[in-house]
Amino acid sequence: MKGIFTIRGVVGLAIAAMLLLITAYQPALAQREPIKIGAIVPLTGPSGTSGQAMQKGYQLALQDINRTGVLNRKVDLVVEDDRGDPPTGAASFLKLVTRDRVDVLIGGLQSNVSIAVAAQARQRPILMAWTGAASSLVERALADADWFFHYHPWEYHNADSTFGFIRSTGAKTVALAYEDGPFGSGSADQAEAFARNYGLTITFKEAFKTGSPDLTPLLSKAKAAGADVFVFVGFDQDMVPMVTQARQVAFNPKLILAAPPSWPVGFEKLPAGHYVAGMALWTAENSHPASRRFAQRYREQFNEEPVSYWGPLAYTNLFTVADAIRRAGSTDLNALTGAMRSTEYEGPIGLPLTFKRSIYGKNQGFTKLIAFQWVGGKQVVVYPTEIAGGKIAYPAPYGR
Amino acid sequence: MVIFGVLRSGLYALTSVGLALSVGVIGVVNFAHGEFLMLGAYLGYWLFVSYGIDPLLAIPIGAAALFAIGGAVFRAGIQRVLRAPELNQMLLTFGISIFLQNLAIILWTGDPRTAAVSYKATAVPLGPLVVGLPQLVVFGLAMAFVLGLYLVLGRSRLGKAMRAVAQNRVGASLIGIEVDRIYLLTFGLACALAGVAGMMVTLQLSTSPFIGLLYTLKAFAIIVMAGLGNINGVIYASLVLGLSEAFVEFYVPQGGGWSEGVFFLLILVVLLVRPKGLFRS
Repeated sequence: MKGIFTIRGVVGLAIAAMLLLITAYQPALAQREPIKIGAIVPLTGPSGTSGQAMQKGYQLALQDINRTGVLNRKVDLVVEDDRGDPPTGAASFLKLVTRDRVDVLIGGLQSNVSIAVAAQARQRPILMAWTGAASSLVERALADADWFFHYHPWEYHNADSTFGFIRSTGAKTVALAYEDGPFGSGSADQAEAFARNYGLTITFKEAFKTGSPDLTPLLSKAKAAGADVFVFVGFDQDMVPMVTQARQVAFNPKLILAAPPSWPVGFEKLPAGHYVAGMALWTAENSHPASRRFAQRYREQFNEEPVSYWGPLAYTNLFTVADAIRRAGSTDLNALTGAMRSTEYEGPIGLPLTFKRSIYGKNQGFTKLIAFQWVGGKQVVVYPTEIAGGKIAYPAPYGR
Repeated sequence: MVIFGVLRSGLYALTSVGLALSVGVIGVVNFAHGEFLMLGAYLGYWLFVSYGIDPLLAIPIGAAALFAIGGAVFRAGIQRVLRAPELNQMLLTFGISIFLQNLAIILWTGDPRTAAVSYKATAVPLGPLVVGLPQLVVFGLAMAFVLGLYLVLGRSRLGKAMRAVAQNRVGASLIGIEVDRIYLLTFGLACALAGVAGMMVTLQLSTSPFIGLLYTLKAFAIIVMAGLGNINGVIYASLVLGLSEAFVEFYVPQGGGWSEGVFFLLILVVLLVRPKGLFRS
């Protein structure tokens, strides 16, 4: 007893007390250190609007995740703007992985940027839960990567959904116009084979330059082909000249089907756009309860309509990653990969998400698109019929 | 094919004549010319969406606004490099182009925006053909503006002063013409014409920060074909470009993807075969 009141004893007790205190507060310290997730999205540039929709989706997901945290830790999201530019995307990857030292990488929209990021990711494997890219060049670039999880359907999934929808209308022939970049050409390459699978004939197929102000020659030629359905693969800037000039040359197929990554602001007010159909992963008119809740929250929080599917897709992206970390119990790559593989989630997209093999890849999420038709300024879902909010107007009353 | 080619040449001529003025009178190759068109397009869009003013009716507002903006840009930047090497001038206008494009992205995002004008998709019969009403109106107005400019240049004191400065700056100064003032008015006028062209673009297409580049490139092709500084040849050169594009789109297989390269080909051919331009000044 006398021993502990010597100077040595007191110092020893003090050290022991300090060690005890540090150990006791360790969980609290760990609690303060957040899980870092890096996101690469195009906040500016040609895809800026879609990228900003993604950022909003991430914000909503982050609010839900951090209500309870993950493994007693907060989740921090570090967002880098790739500007729709491949070198910037690659630089963003390096910054997030080497400087910010994020635990997981999410995001992705443009295929060309995704290819640049993939080249870097192969050298520095990290769990990549990737929303974007439809080009299967990206799929091939990361074909054997266990740690690569892809959410958006690949272009062949898009083609399959598109031609499946066309077939469901009873149409027999298709005229196809496509922008001559990777987006359009990739879709056109798949078209013939998928059309044949569904018993459809492509009677016209021609490229155009995105941004062309005058599409009347193209539309006149498509009109002469006399197909049931006109499929137009272009970007948002091409939609207005296409629909207005189609009316001007009295090109009235039974259906016009377009699939831009997003639609121009104000398109819903354009009379020439009525009854034009589109393919998407989601629309704000989706009847799934989680989808309606998401759309409502989006309107309340951001005071704007959620016109693009990138918002709910981004929400799904971040939410499922956080959930996988929770199930894995850590951010260890192997554990996380295993947890991601066993994901089963149904959220604002309104379709079930699991990860399965695709043609080249190991972990593919969504594989189907839905079809909608512009009716009264809204994107009414018309296919598949199980989730349709309205009946398709076919033949569409264009020009009447 | 001929009708479509002719119709599109109207807007090309209106876009190019302003650039031809800048090159011919001031001697400045304005790489930001398309961005002034883009600003005019946005002005037309916002006046329509915010106040319901038809882009055609808003043309006087757009012309005045872009004249003022052009004048300010000239005073603040271009005037300072008029006696500098041409490379400096080109770099400055290129920098202005990048600045204006990014300013538009920051202010209005990169999202294409469409003014849902009620007659956007209306067509009118023209003999056996049917053509778009906006295209017809734009062609008519564009030609009116270009011919009006020719009248100003040919008949008015201001126009004669511009031509005098274009021919010989020093000589013009010696006879009492205020050269700097003429430069300012010319640049403002060039930007005003680009802005009016932009408002007409709003009638037909979506507006975005990126629409300027395409028209800048076509304008360059046209002024090269016309002969640098040859304002008179702009109408003919515009017709050549419009008809060439329409021919390729109609008759060349997969011509839709090739037609936008036509102007590159034309620039190359003219520069190699007849660098002074195809048409007499």
